[in-house]
Amino acid sequence: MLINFRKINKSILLLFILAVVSCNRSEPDRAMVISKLKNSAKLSTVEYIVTKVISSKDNNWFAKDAYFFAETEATIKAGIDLDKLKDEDIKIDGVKISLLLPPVEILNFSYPSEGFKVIEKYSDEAAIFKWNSIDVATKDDLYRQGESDIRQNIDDLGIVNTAQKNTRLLLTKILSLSGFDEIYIDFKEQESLSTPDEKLLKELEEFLNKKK
Amino acid sequence: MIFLTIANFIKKYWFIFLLIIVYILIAGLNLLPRSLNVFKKQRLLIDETPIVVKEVREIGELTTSEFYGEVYADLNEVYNEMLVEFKDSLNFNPTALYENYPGLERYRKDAREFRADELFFKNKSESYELFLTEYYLKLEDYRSKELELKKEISSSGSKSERKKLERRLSDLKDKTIEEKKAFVKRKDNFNKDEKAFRGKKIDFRKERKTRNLVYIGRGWVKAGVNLKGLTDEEIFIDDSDSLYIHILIPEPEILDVDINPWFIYTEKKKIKGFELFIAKTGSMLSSENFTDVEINSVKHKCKLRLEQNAIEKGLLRNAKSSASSTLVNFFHLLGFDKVKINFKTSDHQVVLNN
Repeated sequence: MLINFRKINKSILLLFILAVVSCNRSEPDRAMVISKLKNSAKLSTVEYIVTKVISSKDNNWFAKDAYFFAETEATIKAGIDLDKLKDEDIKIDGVKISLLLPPVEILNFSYPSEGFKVIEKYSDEAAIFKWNSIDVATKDDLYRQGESDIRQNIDDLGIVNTAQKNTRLLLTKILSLSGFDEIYIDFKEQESLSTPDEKLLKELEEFLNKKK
Repeated sequence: MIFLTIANFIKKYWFIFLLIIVYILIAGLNLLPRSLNVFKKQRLLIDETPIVVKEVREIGELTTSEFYGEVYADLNEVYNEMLVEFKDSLNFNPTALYENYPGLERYRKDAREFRADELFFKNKSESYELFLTEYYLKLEDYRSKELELKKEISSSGSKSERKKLERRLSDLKDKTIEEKKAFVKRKDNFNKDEKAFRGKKIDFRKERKTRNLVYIGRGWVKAGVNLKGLTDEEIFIDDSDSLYIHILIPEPEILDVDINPWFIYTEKKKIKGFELFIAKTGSMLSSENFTDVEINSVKHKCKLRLEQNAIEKGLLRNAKSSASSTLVNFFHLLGFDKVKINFKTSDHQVVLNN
């Protein structure tokens, strides 16, 4: 039986093309961050500590399956932005005051690596070679997926109500210490919970446009 | 009939079938990179797990200053600091540390050797410098003596004296030549030593590149004051003027230091918080992968650096002035004419505690 070399060449070429195509990954977003200091006036009144298990399984046909299992913890702070409180939102009549506060916002989201606990007994990187093991890049990707999941479900945690309640309590205390006897606190209509990300992105884009 | 056709077909294209079987085998044995393995998902996905609220805390933090920035850190820096920080445990019981930080043992050995070389070379170069100064002094001395002798020769009257002087001059010249020879030898030796040390330095640095983990971290540091637990001692209206309010608040402190997996997470754009820049283990085997402790230590180092940058940029100072202006504005809105903000110093806290 003769080996058809032309065919071998073709199949090698095909494999090569397959390799090139599958290795073509998109460029990451780099150098978007500028070192910047800015003033703010954000009053956080509630802190939620949430946990999420990050687990993943990589199935193999003939080899051992790979597992990853980590317990993670995120801290979410919510409250109001005092910069958004305007003159017309406050009505004072002697010792009577009524406040119309801006809507509750997520003021800080923290998903620290110090809170990632990989459970060794349920984790197994399994693969012999590093390129298909659950390595540092894969783990980072899994954590990013975890954060995405938490952020997408923030609205369902009941943060708005708790933040409103706590803000009311804190401001009532400060206002009564400031000499007001009758205090009414209300909030502006709450749409969805906004995060600092949109504002931050806008600022960054403005900065980059200016630079251009 | 059909079997025969199939058999013929296989016989004709046996090589392609063989390739397919080999591919399936190595793919199934998990030897191929994920991107080349068509039987696997291109990306490992997390399972759907619930988000559990563990704790809800009532707080009262007024964030008055924020710092955003980008930092980087690498594993060798972490190792270097560990050599100082865990000096005692490394001397007496390093096994546990080596287990968590597999690259530390090698780094410690190399660093120790390199430090010894560095010290040795430092001593050598110091003594060489001393030798150089001495040599130039001597040379100057010879030169002045030579001039003097030449003058004496030209002015001397008697022949015998002149001969004597000329002998002295030639002795002096011989001595100078000898000194010069010694100098050249010493210089060559030193150059050789310097070259060897430079080589060792390059080797040490090169070696550090074989196993290293570098992260770029983007995040923020926020500072402000804690308003929870304000009492009537800390917020009160002036006795003589009902529109004059005094407020006593704690000194600003750092409230958040965060570098998350995502720095910006919006529908429109996503920017990574921790971005892996280099992850080289110097081996193809996954058993040499970085441990979770190593990964976290580099990430932690990034955070420390970010916090340090923020403080250097004046975050706390800014937080203090911003806290004053925010509270002054707020109480102006509440109708007060005069607002006096004071910060609790540590002395004040001592007085309050007493």
